Amino acid sequence: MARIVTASQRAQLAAVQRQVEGVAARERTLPVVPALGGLLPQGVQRGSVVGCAGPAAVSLALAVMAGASQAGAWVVAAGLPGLGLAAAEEMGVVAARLVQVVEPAAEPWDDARWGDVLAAMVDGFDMVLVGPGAQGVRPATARRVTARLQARGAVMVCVGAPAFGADLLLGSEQHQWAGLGDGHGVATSRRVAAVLEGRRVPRPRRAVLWLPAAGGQVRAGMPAAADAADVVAAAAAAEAAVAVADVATVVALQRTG
Amino acid sequence: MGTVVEPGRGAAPHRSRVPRLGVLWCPHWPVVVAGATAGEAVVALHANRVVAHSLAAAAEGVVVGMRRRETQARCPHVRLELHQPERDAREWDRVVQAVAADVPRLELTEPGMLTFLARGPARYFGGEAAMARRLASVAGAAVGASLAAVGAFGLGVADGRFAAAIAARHAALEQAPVVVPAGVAATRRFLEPLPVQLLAEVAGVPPEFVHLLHRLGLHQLGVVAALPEVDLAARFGPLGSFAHRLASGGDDRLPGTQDPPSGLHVQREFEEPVHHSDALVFVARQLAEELAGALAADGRVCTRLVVQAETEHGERSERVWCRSTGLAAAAMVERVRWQLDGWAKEDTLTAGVVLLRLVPDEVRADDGVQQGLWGGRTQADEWATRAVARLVALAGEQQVLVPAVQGGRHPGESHRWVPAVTADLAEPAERLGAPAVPWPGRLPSPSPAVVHPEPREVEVMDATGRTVTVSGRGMVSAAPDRLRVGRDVQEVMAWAGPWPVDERWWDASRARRVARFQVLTAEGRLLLLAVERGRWWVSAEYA
Repeated sequence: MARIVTASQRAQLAAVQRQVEGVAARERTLPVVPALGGLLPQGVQRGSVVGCAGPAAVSLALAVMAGASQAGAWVVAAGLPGLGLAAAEEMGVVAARLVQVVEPAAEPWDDARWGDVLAAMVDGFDMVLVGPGAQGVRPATARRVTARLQARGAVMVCVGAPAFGADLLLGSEQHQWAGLGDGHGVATSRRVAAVLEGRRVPRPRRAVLWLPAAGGQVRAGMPAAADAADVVAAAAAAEAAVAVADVATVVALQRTG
Repeated sequence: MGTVVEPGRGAAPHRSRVPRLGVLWCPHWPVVVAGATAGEAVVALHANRVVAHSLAAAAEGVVVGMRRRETQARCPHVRLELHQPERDAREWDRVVQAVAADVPRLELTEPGMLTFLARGPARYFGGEAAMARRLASVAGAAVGASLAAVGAFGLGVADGRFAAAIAARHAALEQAPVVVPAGVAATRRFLEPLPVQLLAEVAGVPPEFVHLLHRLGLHQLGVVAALPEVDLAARFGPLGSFAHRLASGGDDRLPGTQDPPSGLHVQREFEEPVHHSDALVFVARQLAEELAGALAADGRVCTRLVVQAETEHGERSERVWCRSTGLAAAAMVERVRWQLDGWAKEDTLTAGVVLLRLVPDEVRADDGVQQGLWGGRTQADEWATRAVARLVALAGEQQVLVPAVQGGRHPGESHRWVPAVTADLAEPAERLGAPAVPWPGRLPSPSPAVVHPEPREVEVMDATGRTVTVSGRGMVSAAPDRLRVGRDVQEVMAWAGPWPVDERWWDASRARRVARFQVLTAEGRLLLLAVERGRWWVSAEYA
């Protein structure tokens, strides 16, 4: 028997489907701030490890965590005793839901203790930031922690802790500070060419970020109020980034081809 | 996806009669679950505060809401237990089953408390007093010896949930069932001398409202009941008239409570029987969100929920869960988990679950009045609070820190990290409020992302290789040309400063004169340097 589906029914069906998919996607991912939408359009998948590298690594890590933090997630940090609270707040991380675990300087933790602490962090928090202080953790312990991370559905953001094997690698390649002169001015913002690579990312995604922008938060692309030279420079950087992306695809084709 | 079955939307008639209810209440149930023995001092802690304690601990001066340190100070030999709601609910199922053999339809309010319609069982057992005695002894037998640590079960019978719950508290204190005679007048006489605090503790009225009543000189429920209801309604709105109804023994359901349209429910049938409760809870989450969403679309919230599960062999589990303040999706899921865990613990299950159904039994208009009390904390907050307690146990009190605003000119000084055990995680306002005074001389944002806890010494040289100095008037001897940390020498690409700070000049021992610089190195690292008494330090990095 033929079924006649009218256009309005089809539209309704599509709306329902979108809603269902939206709910499912929200369940599986943590949101990111709009400025990172170009790099992480779906947000960060729960259970994944995001590695941040390059000169802007800590700022990148804070920017990745800001979206989830604003949405109500709790953030815990370990191995990064110098985490700048003012910078974290400016970047959008909610201080009321931020906790830090510090390793005592007098008696550093052994591998087993690190494993216990990281497991407890993964169990109770949605976002876990691991800094270079945890680089002594053995790969086997790190694997156990990441397995737990996947079961629990938290997200780990790593800065200088390669043992945890990042699913997504956020690099900051070229970067340039604005506002600082030769004996005058003050640093106001930094332009960073960020690149996202990973197993589930078929070709690297690139974006130009202001990290931090003038107020300390992260903004995408070109600034709203910048002098003409900056705009030109930003456009050039964006072009360069695109060019680099093209080169990267060519290289990838050669490799597989 | 489950199916939402919703027939016509006829407004259900509001039930006007106050039901005769029995409440069975175990004081400090978490302590009983922790296996306390008679005379042992045990407390259950949640977020470093006491939520339940044994009689022996109470004798030493421990009260609910006390911080852990103070508890240990008053009672050094106390046994500390983490509060585990799941475990409490699982163990409570024993009592529920024992009582359910005598009483057909039970409502579970929370682990440690259940409510039932008193009329039927009272007739069966020959009077309310006889029924109360029997149920209290049945429940006591189901729990066993550890009940002695907290006294006894309280069983109260009265008109309405509020009076019955209070009667159960009295019964627990007196160690004998309390039956309040039927009728509005008798209920009112029972409530008259009691403190208004009970409105918050038992009925979930916002504590601020109760404080306000105290400030107005209304300390007893009888005094509130004696006021004209219209005056309370005029002054406080629906909350005022609700409090009046409670205090005068009237209908104690929240305003706007009604029966849901009959037949509204969400369910999921499984073709493959499900054996793992995790998988069921996952499905329950979807169902709960669907149900809460369907009700929220009409501006309603479920206050009484029936959870039904059925196995392939026809075994059924049905429990009624109620919460006068409304069950959000997360709260529904929590109750499904409690129920399934309790069921699975019986070991009599022979097959996997094939049907899971959530039926709203009572809904009310979602006016948001109660949200401040319960809705303010999400499940993530609960998890995090528990995880912090666990981290403290693992890593030590001084190693788990939360931020607090302090105020200061240097990047590391505007905030400081304080031990999490000294802070109330649920009340971040007291540690994160804006600093009381402005701090002129702070560097403008953006702030450095890494602030070195211990500043690192660095050498700053000009083009001729001499150390750059800053004079007392804030003049730089020459432009910085390169930095040296150990053997590592880096060229300076750009720099700005000095920004001098002359702090506490009035106090010779704490005075500090510092000049700050931003320096961009050839590697592209932007550093915040400080020069103090001719020595240079890296205090932070814009990483």
